[in-house]
Amino acid sequence: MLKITNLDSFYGESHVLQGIDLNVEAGEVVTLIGRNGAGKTTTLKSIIGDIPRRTGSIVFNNAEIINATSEQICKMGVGLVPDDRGIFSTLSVYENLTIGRPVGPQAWPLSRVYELFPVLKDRNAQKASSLSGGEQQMLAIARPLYMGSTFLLLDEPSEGLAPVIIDAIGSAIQQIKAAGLTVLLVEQNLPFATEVADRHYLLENGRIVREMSNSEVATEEESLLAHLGV
Amino acid sequence: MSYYISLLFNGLVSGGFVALMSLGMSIIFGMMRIVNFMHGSLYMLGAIIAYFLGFYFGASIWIGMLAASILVGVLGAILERTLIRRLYGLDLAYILILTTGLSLFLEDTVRNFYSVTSSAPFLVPQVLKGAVNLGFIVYPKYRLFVVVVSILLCLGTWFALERTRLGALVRAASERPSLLKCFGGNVPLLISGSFFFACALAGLAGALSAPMRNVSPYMGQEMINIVFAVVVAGGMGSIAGSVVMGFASGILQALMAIVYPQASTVIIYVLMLVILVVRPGGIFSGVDISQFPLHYTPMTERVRAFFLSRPAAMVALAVGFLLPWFVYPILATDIILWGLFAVGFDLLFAYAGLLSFGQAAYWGTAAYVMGVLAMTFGAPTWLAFIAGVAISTTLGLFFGLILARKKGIYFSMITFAISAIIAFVVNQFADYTGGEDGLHGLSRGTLFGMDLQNDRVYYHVCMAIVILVIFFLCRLLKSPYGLSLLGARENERRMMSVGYNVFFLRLKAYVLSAFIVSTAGALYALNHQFVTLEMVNWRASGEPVMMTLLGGAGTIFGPVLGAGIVVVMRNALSSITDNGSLYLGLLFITVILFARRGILGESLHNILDRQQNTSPHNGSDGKTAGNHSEPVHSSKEAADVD
Ligand SMILES: Nc1ncnc2c1ncn2[C@@H]1O[C@H](COP(=O)(O)OP(=O)(O)O)[C@@H](O)[C@H]1O
Ligand SMILES: [Mg+2]
Repeated sequence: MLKITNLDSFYGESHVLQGIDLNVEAGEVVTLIGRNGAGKTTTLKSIIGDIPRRTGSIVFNNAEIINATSEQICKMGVGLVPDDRGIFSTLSVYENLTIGRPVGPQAWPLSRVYELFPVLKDRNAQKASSLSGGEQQMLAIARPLYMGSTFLLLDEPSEGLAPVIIDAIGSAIQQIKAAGLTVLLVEQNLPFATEVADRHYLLENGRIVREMSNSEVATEEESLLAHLGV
Repeated sequence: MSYYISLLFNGLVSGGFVALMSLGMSIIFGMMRIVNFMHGSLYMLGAIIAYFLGFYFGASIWIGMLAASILVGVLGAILERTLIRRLYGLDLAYILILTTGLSLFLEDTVRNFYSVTSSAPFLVPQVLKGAVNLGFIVYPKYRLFVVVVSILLCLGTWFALERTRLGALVRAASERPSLLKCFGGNVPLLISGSFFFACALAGLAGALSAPMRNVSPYMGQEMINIVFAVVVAGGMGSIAGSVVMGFASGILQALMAIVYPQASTVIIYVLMLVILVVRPGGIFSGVDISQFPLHYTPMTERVRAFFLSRPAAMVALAVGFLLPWFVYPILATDIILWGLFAVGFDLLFAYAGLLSFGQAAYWGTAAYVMGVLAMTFGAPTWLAFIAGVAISTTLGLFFGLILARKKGIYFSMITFAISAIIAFVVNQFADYTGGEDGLHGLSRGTLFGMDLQNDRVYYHVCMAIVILVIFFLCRLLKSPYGLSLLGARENERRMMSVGYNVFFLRLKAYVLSAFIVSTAGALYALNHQFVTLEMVNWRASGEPVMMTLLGGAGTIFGPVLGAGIVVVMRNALSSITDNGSLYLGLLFITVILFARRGILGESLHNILDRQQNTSPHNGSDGKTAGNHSEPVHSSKEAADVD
């Protein structure tokens, strides 16, 4: 579904991603793990087209998108859940949820979105900035579903949340997978990652250094955690 | 009683125009983070369009309003797409110059075709003629119509922004444009659309005012000043704030007209000053702009060092001595004194990072104090001169204590308010200052036996003073003080953490600037042997901004060169063409778009920096900054710009 070859990305003069190669098949949940500053967020931003200077090849559903704008990429079915959750604070919960127009037949009707995250229905008239962190995360995940994205980019959804909420987010991701969506997940929380994902890429200094299975991550958890510094 | 009520209604009428204008300014600021100084000219264009349609085609106010809003809106959107868009994320000063340049251009172009000054009562259709009895008051129907239309439009806009999907998109685009793109939002279209709408409101306000106000090419100038103050006092970018303050300003003026008529124009500036001092963000919380990055295209270290070097000083000295041989001495003196004014401004702008819109306060105060002492109290010229500079500088210290803690756009706004208040005070004490007429017949006197009445002698005395000041300034900027001032401009937090008192650094720069500007102002008054209100006018504050950017900010001699260009161009153009301001406007636009370091700065940058930086990604920092297709909002995003 997504195939990245030799991706280089830059912020101004600094060369952050240096030849990323990865691929994600339809229906998979794949994680990117790596320590802070490794380039995980930058990889996701490159896919959605939010990095002005990027070279290499990103093929999504057989279409080359390396030179596409984020608007176009979004309309092709890529949905972003940014690391800061990307909530528009001056908009209400409902306005946030519906900020992207539904595109394509995959779009979830509001009722289905509310079934997954009932709290969004209860609070739909509130300003989004008044939601708790967990609720904001749910809103951020709900947005691309409403739009009908088929491929989700999730940037550290468990970060800064209480364990109960993390469980809720985890089960939401599993339901999303069961619904047939594909997910590229950035995660530092290894137990969470192995629970929801099929396989993993280890990112170091802007390069993919290893591809790992769930069992490899589980057996090497100690050394990985030391490496991640978390 | 009904007299007072009708006065209040009149306040609502003029408040309605201001509210429509401020609403547009606020939308533009909220979305693009730019202050649109050509908004007043768009208002004027709207009035002219309605006037023409009514006069030649017998159109009614309905057609006038429709045509004015569409045409002006389209013009605004075109200017945004082609020119203004290039400046997003850059310092307010560039926007000021570009939109002021556009204003000059528009006003002069209109003046070419139309220079009558009259209102357009023929636009008013039969239904709106006459008066209506409201029970408690009999009031002209058309004025009532204006009140109703402006209130409805403001409410409608508020509703559209707060309650519709389009409004949500606009708000999202103002908050995080690049994120909205990731949800498929067409941000450039939203920006152009908002610009269109805001400009259309200005055109509509103009058309609406045509039947009752004097339609003239310059009618936008007074309007823009009030609107500017209202938008700031209301909270930059706050829709509700701008509307409420817009109507409030009209009512306040009407009330002042009853109790203290002379102050009715200045009251809004006083209000703005009070609000900004008490509640720095405006009465309603607008867009948070305290962290709002203001990028300007800086000199590289090499170019800066060159300007502070001996060869540069030698060249400048030579030019200074040759100048009176090329232009007549009074003009030569004008050039170096405006240059000194600009140097004083630039000290604040390029070195302290503070953009003042009100340095004319000192330029004028020194001149007036000197003039009053010499003319009314018969003090000898030298004494009056010293007293003028001293008092004006002390005033600078006083205001500096308020100002040195303010930053960015708020600093600029307060300086603007202060200078408006000074202008008001000068006008109020007409017995001493001569009011509109000014003070005429100042004598330059003698100095060490030299007859200063001789223009050539006077030029050389002024030049000696300018050299002295610039010499002192160059030393200062190379000293630890100058470096720490620059350091605070680059990174205030770091300077504070290593123990600098940034407040004092800035206060010193402000007072020094006031001193330099005062000196220049007093000398300038003596050059012409009179003082007029023009010296305290807001336009006098704008001159050094333009001169500095034209010559090159942060280059010491650049502002003087800029002054030379502006003064000579005004002078030469006024004798060969009537369109002086048009060409000047074009020059500003060109410089801002193509030579953001100024003429001197850009040439030296090309000569000195290009030799070293052969790599394609270096040395073009100024250019990339202009290529943004959307506003740069977060400081992190903006950090990659330069
Ligand atoms: N806006 C930016 N400008 C410049 N450098 C950045 C920017 N954002 C991130 N970086 C740098 O890029 C590198 C990768 O960052 P990021 O992708 O956010 O890492 P991660 O998400 O893995 O923690 C880091 O070294 C970071 O400092
Ligand atoms: Mg990250």
